[in-house]
Amino acid sequence: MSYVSDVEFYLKLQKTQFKTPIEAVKRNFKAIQKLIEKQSALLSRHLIQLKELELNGQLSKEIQRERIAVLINIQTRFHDKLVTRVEEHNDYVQRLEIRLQRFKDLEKILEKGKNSSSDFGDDFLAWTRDQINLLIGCYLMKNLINFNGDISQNNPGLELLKHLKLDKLIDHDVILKGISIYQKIRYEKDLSVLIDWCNENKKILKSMKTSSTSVDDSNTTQKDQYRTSLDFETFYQNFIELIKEDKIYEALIIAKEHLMPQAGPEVPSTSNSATTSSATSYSDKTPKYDSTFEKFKKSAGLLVFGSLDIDELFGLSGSKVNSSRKDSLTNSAMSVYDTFSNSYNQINNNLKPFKELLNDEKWIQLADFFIYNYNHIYGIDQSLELIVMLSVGITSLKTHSCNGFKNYSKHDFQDPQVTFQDVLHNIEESNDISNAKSELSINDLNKCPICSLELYEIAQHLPYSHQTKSNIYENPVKLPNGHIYQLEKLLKMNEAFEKPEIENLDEMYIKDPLTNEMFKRSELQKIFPT
Amino acid sequence: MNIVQEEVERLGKNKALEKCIKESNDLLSYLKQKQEQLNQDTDDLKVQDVQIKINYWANQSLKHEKSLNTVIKKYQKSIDKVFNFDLSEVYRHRIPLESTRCRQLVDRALIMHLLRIGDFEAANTIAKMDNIQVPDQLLNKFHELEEISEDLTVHHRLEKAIAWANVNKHNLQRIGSDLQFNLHKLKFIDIYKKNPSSPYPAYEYAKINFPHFGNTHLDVISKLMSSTIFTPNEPENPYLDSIDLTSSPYQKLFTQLSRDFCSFVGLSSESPIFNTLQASYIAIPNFVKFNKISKMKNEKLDWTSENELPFEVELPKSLQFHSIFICPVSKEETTPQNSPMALGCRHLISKDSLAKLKKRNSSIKCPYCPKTFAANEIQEVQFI
Repeated sequence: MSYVSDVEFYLKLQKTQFKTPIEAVKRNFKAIQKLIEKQSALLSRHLIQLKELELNGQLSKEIQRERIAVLINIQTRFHDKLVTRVEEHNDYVQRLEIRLQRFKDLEKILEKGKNSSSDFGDDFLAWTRDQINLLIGCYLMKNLINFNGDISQNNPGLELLKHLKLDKLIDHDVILKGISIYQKIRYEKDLSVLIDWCNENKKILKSMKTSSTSVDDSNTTQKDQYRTSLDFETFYQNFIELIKEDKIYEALIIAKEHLMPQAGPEVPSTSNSATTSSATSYSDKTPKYDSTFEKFKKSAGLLVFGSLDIDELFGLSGSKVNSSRKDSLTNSAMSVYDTFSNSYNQINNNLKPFKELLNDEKWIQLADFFIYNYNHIYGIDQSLELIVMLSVGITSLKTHSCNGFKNYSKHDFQDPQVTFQDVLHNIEESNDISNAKSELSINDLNKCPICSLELYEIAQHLPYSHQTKSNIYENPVKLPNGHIYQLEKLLKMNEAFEKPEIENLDEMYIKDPLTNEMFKRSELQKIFPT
Repeated sequence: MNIVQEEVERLGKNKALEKCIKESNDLLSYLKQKQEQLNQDTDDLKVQDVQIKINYWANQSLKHEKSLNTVIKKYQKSIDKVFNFDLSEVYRHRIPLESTRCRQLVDRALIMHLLRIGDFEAANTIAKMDNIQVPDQLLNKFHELEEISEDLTVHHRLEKAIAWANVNKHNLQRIGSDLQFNLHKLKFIDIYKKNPSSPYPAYEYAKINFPHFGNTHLDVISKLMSSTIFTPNEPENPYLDSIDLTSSPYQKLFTQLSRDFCSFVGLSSESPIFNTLQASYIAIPNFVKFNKISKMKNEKLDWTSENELPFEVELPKSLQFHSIFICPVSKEETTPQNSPMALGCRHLISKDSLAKLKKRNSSIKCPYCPKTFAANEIQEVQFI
C-alpha cells in the first residue's frame, strides 16, 4: 500500500470534524456560564430579601415554608436546564471521541497493510468507502442552501449518512441550523432570525471584522466584502427594508442604534484597515474611512425618496396618456432638448445605485455573507469538499486517451436536459451485445471513470494529468487492423470464444474481440514501443 | 494525531460539568431537606446557613467552570496548529457548479453511486429535488440490489444474496468472482457461532455447500472445518481470525456483490465516483505540496500548458485505466489526433514526429534502428 498517505494526512483533511464540535462546545459552555451567573444573581437577590425579612422579624414559619418552596422551584428549573446543557456538551465530546477512534482504526489498518503487496487492503478500501460516502453526504447537505423548501423533509445527505451509520461523523445539526437561517434570509427575506443570531454572536462578529481584513485574498471584491461585518450588513438591510415600507422613523432608529456606531470614521477599526499591507487595490491618497460609512452615506439618500418609482415621482404611472408620454420621453430624438425629459433621465440615472440597494440580489448577497461568517465561526469548510476532491481526482485520472463517450453515443444526439436516458441506453446496448454473443462489451475494455457516462462530460471542464512515462502492458502484439493487445489477454479471451466454422482449418485463428475480425495466428506481430 | 488525541482525551476526561450538576444537586437536596424539616417543624430556617450553602455552590461552580475553560482554550490552540492547510485553496480548477447542467450531472453521478450502494431513498430524494426523473426501468434493474442490501447490511440475513448468487452462478464463474463461496462461508460462520454447544448444524451446512468449492478454496475450508473442534470463542483456536465477524463482513460482502451485480447489468463494476475519489486521496498530497511551493515563491508557479497539470501524479496499477504511450522522439503523450504509428520494424512513434521526419526525407528512417521505410509500410495503431 505504498501509494497510501499516512494517517496524519488523512486527519488533516478532516479539519471540520475536529473543529466544529469544539466551537459548539465553547458556545454551549458560554451558555452554561451565563446560566450559572444568572442563577447566582437570582439566588442572592432572594437571600437579600430573606435577610431583610429575618432582620425585621417577619420570617414566620409560614413565610419560611413559602420561601423555601420558591428557592426549590428556582433551583429545580436551573438544574433541569443545566442537565440539558451538559447532555449537549457530552454529545459533542462523544462525537470527537468517535471521530478520533476512526483515525485510530485507520492507523491500525495502515500498520497492518504496510508490507502488503496489493495496492489497497480490504479494510483500507472499506475505510475509504465510508470516507467517500461521508464526503457525498456532506455535499448533499451543504447543497441544501440552493433548495427552497423544507429541509427536514428533504435531506438526502442525512438519509444517506444515517443509513450508513456515519451520522456521528458530521455535525449535521450545526450545518443544518446555518442552512435554515440562510434559507430564511434568501427565500423568505426574513431578517428576524439573522438579527437574533447576530445579537447572540456580536462579540465574535466584531472580532471577525478586524481579523478578516488581514485575510490575504487575491479577489478584491471579496476582500471589500470582508471589510464590513455581518452585523452591519444585517442592520443595513433592515434599514433599507424599513425605508422600502415607508417606515422612515423606525429606519432612523436602526441607523442610530446599529449603523452609526460602527460606521463613523472615529471607529478604531479604520486604522486597522489603513494598515492592511495589500492596500494597493485601494486608492492610497484618500484617508481610509471605513467603507461602511461610505455605504451608509450612500443609502441615506434613500430617505429623501419615499419611493423609488420614478414614474410615480413624475406623475407618469397609471393612465394610458401618460404611458405614451413616457415612451416619447425615452425614445424621441428630441428628448435631449426637452428639459422635462432631461431631468427624468438624469434622476433615473442618479437613482440607479439606490435601485441596486433595493434589488433582490442584495438578499442573496446577504445570505451568502451570512453563511460565510457562520462557516467561519464553526470551522466549517467554505468550499464543497466533494467538488474539490472530485476535481483533483478527475484531473489526476484524465489522460488524452479518455474519449470513452464517443463510444457510447452511437446515436448522435445530446439531450440538453440532464436525464437518465443515455445511462439506460448504454446499459441496454451492452446487454444487447452480450445477447448477440459478442465477446466483449465496451465496459469490459474500458473501466476508466473519466470515460464513464457519469463523469465524461464533467471532466471536459478540467485539465489533463501530466504523463511522462509510457505505461504499456508487457508483450504487446499488433493485429493487422492496427489494434494492439496484450498477448496473454488476447489468447485468454480467444479461449472462451466459440469458433466452430474454422476448427477444421490447419492454422490457428485469432479473433479481434472488439471487431470480431478473424486473423491468422502468424499475422500477429510483436511490438516494440520504446 | 497525537496532539489531537491528547486534546480529545483531555476534554473527555474533564468532568467539570458533571461536578457542576452534582453541586447543583447537593444544593437542591439541602433545600429539600430543609423543607422537610420545616414541614415537620423540627427546625427553623436560618438565613445564614442557606447563604453559606448557596455561596459554596456558587464558588464551586465557578471553580469547575474555570477548569473546563482552560481545557477548551488549550484544545482550540493546539488544533489550529495541526490543521494547517485549507482544502479550498489546494486546487484552483473546479467543476463549474454555477452551470445548472454541471450541477445536475454531478447529482446524476451521485444518484448512480447511491443506486449502486443500495440507497434508493437518498437517490430518490435528490432526483425529486433536482426535478430529474429516474426512469422506472433503471430503478427496476436496481430494485433487487436494494432488497439484498437491506437484508445483508441491516438485518445480516444472507438468504437473498445466496439466492441471487445461485441464479448468476455461471456469470460469476465467468468473471472469476468468489462471491458464492464467501456467502456460504459467512453463513457457515453464522450458524457455527449461533450454536456454541454443538458444531453439527454448521457441519451439516458445510457438507452440503462446501464440496463445490473444494478445488478453489480448500485451504480456507480446512481452516473453517478445523475451527469446529473448538467452541466459537475459544482462544486456543489457531484460526480464530478466519471466523472473526468483527470487521463488518456483511458490508464487505455487499460491496463485492454490488460490484458483480453492476458488471452484469452492463455498468462498470466500480462506481466512477468511488474510483475518482480514491485517486483523489492519493493525488492530493502532490497538490498540497505544489500549492505550498507556489506560495513560498510568492508567485503562481507556471502551468506550462493551461490544460495540463504541471506535475506528475503517480497512481497505482488498479487506478491506471489507459495505456499511455509517450512518443520517444517528441516526449509527448499520444492522443487520438496524434496517434501512435507503427513502423515496419515494429517500433512506435507519434504521428506528429513522423510528419517531421517525413519533411526531411522521402523515405523514413526509424530513429531507433537502421531500417528505412516507405509510407505504405507505416500503420496507425491503437492500444486496446
